[in-house]
Parts: sequence; C-alpha cells; structure tokens
Amino acid sequence: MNDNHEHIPGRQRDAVPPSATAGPTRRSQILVVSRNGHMGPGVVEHALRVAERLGSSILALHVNTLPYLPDGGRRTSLFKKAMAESAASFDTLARTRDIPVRVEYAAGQAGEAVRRLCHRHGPIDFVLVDQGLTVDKIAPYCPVPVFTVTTSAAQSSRPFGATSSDSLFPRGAKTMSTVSKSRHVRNCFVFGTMTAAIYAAVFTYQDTIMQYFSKGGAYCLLPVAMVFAVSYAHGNFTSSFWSALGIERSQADQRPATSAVKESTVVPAPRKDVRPRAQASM
Amino acid sequence: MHGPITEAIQFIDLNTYSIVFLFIVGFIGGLVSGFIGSGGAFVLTPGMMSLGVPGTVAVASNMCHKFPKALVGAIKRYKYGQVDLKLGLIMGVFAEIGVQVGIGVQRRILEAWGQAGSNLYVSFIFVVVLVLVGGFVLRDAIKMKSSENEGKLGGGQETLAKRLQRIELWPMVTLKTAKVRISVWFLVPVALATGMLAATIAVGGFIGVPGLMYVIGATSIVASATELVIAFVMGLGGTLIWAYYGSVDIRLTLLILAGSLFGVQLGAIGTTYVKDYMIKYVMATIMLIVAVSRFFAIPRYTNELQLTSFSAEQVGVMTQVSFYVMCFALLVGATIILVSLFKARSLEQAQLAVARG
Repeated sequence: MNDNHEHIPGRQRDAVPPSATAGPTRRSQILVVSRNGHMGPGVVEHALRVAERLGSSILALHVNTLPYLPDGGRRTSLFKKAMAESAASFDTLARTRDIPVRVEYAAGQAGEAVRRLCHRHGPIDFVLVDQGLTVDKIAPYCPVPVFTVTTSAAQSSRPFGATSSDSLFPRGAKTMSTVSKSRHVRNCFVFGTMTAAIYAAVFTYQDTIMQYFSKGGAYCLLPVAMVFAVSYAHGNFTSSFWSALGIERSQADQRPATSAVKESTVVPAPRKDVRPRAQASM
Repeated sequence: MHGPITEAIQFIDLNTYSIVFLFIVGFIGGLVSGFIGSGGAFVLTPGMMSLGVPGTVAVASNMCHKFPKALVGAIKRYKYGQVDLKLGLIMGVFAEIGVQVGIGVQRRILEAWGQAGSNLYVSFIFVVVLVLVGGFVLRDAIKMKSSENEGKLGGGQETLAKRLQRIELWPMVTLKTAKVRISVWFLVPVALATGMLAATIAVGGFIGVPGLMYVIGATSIVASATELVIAFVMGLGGTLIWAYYGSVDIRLTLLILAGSLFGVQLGAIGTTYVKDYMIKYVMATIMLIVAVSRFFAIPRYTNELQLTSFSAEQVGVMTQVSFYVMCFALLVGATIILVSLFKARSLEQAQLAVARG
C-alpha cells in the first residue's frame, strides 16, 4: 500500500507554527498518533500536559488507514474535514498553554507512517497512541517508546469511529462549533413545528379528543401515548431552543476527560524484541 | 367500570388567564424538578384547583405531566453522566410498591377518621418530614459550604452510608455512576419511603433525594438526577391508574408540559454550573418554606375535627396564606437556580475570554 504524507491545508511543513514564536525554545517533540479524524480528548489533554511540563512541542499525526475504500473518496474527504476541525481545536487549546502543535496527515499503515515520521522529524521523545490504535501495531516500527493513555471506563467504552463525532471534546462540546449551532436552529425549527402541530391538533379538536381520552379503560393508553409524543417533540425542541440561545452545560463540566486524565495511567507498550540472536549450526 | 366516575368528572373551559398561569407554573416547576430532581409540581394541584379544576382531575393531570417531564429531565441528565440508571430502576420498582402501600394507609385513615382526618394526616406528615429532612439537608449544605469540600458528605451522614456499604448482605449491587456498592436491602426501605411519601404528599423526592444522599451515599448531583428516573417509573404507573378511570385532562397536562419542559432542560443545565451543596441549599430552602405553608393549612382540618375553634374568617386567611407561601417557596427555589446558573455562566465566559486572549 502506498503511503503518503501531507500537511493539513494552510500549514506548511517547515513553517513555524504561530504559537511557536512565543515561549522558550523547544527542541524535543511528542508524537501523538490517531487513526481517527477527530483526536480523542484524553490523549490530547495528556499530550498537552506532558508537553507543557517537558517544554516539548507536539506533532499530531492522523493516519487514514483506509485511503482506498471504494466509496468515491467520501471517507477520505470526511476524514480530512474532521481532521481540520480537530487540528483547529487542538491549536486553540495549545495556544492557551503556549505549546507549538503541528498536524500531519498520512495514509496507509499506521506503524509505517510513524516510522517514517520519526526518521524525518527527529528528535521525537516518545509516541502517544490514541484510542482506536493498539500499541503493538506501532511499537515494532518505532525507534522511540510508545505509550497509550488509559482513560476512565466510561470514556474508553465510548464508540470511536474513524470520523467519530467524539472529537477533541466529549459529546456536547461539538455544539460550540458554528456548524452545530446551525444544527440546533434547524432542530429547533423541525421539532418546534412538530410540537406546534400536535398542540394545534389537540386544541382544535379538543372536544373529540377529550371525549376519547377521558373514556378510561383501555383508552388510558391514549393520554400516555400523547404525552410520550409530546415529550419527544417538545423535549427536543426545548433542548435545541436553549442550545440555539447558547445556554448549554458548563464547559468545565463537559470535560470529564480532564478529570479522567487526572486518574489516567500511562502504560508503556511492550516492545517486540527484534535484536539478532547468535545462532550456531552444528 | 369507568363509567360512573367519568360521568362525575367536570372538565373546565380554558381561557387565556388559565393557559398563561399553567404555562408559567409549569415552567417554574420544571426548573426546580430539573435541578433538584423533584418537588416542582406540588403547587400545581392546588393551583389547578384554584382555577376550578376538580381535585381528582387536578391530581391526575398533574401526575400525567410529571412522568414525561421526569423522562426528559432524566435523559438530559443521563447525557451529562449524572444518572445511575440501575439505581433509578431498582428504586423505581420498589417505590411503586411504596405508592400502593401509601394509598392503602391513606384509605384506612380515610375510613377511620374521614376526609378531615386524612387531610390532617397529610399535612402533619408534610410538616414533620419537611422540617426534619429539610433541616438536616440545610445543616449539611451549610457544613459543606463552610468547609468548601464538595466531594465529601459531612459528618454523621457520611458515616451512615459508608457503614451500610460495608455490610455484605446478599444481594449486593454495584452502582457505577453513584460509585457505590451496597446491599439491595438498604435500597428497598428508601424506595418504599419515597413511594409512600409520593402517595401521601405527591412529592416523593423530598425523601428520595436525601435518602439517596445520606443512606445510599450518592452525591447530590447523582441523587437528584437518579430521582428523576424514580419519578418517571412512579409517575407512569400512577398515570395509567388515573387514566384508567378517565380522570386525566390532556389539555391541562399539555399546557403544563409546554412550560415545564423548557424549565426542566434549564434546571438540568443549571446542575452543571453549580457546586454540589447548591442543590442541597435549594432543596432545603423549598422544603422548609413548604413546611411553613402546610403549617398554615393545619387549623382548617383541626377545626373540622373539632380539635380547635378558629373562626371561618381566620381559617380562610390561613388557607390563602398557605397557598401563597407554597408559591413563594417555588419562586425562591427558581430564583436561586436562575441566579446561580447565570452568575456561574457569565463568570465562566469571562474566564474563557481571558484564556483566549
């Protein structure tokens, strides 16, 4: 399989990232590898913390492991789009801590991509592996130590797709993006119309409805079904309504990943012993 | 079998005033329920009755709006990772049994002492439970705030939950979100008491949430969120019974629901901004003010039982005071929630703006 590397649009390979211009000179790098378009929040937070402590810069590598999927390039285009979103969020977070971040795209086998990057971009101190990739796929190809970040059970049990909506932020934080805001407005309109239709129907035909709904007996299911329908339509409408107004859960609260990373343990990957062995032929 | 009851039911004609009234009270009630898990609906039954809705229809329609509201709140808070579903469902099933027991007790009291006796019993239970539990919760909230140690429960309460958790009595149940491993035998009494209180004063959460916090050992955030699941299970069961007798006025239910779903979403969002003790504060404040309200309702029933001899005028004033104090309790709770929410939100946004430079 052919491997190819490219930088995300708007970033040059040798260009100094904007955030790199400030702060102390950083020589070492931490490589963060993901096979997802959106990098996991646990590994991002951990990488930022370690980079801050060590004074390192971060090299984030997104590996598209299925570049030749026969879907007319749809997956690759979605992958790159998600990667651009993830890179922007990563950069925002890194800027607040004055850590240079460079994001790269690679297609092909993850281990091979890491090996080439390590040779090209040295010195790399160590590699952090995002969820979705196993360390034993990276470690045999990698000249530097490979670590995986184990987050809390709740977080790790979440499904991570290649272009999963579980991005740099956990669920809900995506709503901060303008794309999501427009989605809230759209949902608000759709569910608002649905709710209005239900209410209009009930109050227009209230006499007939009251006649059946208060009959009792097996008809007791009618009011129950009705309130379930209203909970669905109006519940979604009210939720989108507050979100569209920008009233959402606290951002401090929506970072369970942060607290999870606190408890996280960095597990060194077992390395394959590839040293040549002395052999004797008798 | 439902014929005679249906014939006796009178449904009211709705006007603009009653529609606006139900929407606003629904919103405030939803806000409080979304925040403390329960306790937002107790004003609605007397409120609807003041509009001329018969007692049975008011209770049935209120019950019918409570369970979808609890469902929406529970889903919202489940997304925030605050709900312990297993705990909620186990408690919900036993609470439903508690409701049936509570109804049985009520019926016996009704048979023995008549309507006035039953009302006096309800008010007495109201005052005793609310003062004792509300006082206890308030003391704990003050302790927590002063020590600024939100992660831990204070003093004796913590010891009780921890002590119970240490007792290995089959069947043990592990509750991941609540981070508790406890015997089901300790869940059952709390659930039964919740159901019994719900059947008696229509707000089981005043026992359920403190029970989850102090007996089971859940944090107030998890307790209030899980209470919504319990309220859903109990409410669904209760609604089916009321609807079986044709007592639900779906128009009233939908009008309350229109406001309360806005409120419950906002209340749930509010829990992500405030500290743990804030939920206890709001709960204790509402409970203690409602206790005062019920205290003013007692003379009417003692008069009917000829235990006291207040004049009809005095009793009328006290009944009115009782209703307004109850509304005041809900308003105070809602104000605390809204102020805390928007204060914390603007503070967070200011901090974010500084961080972004």
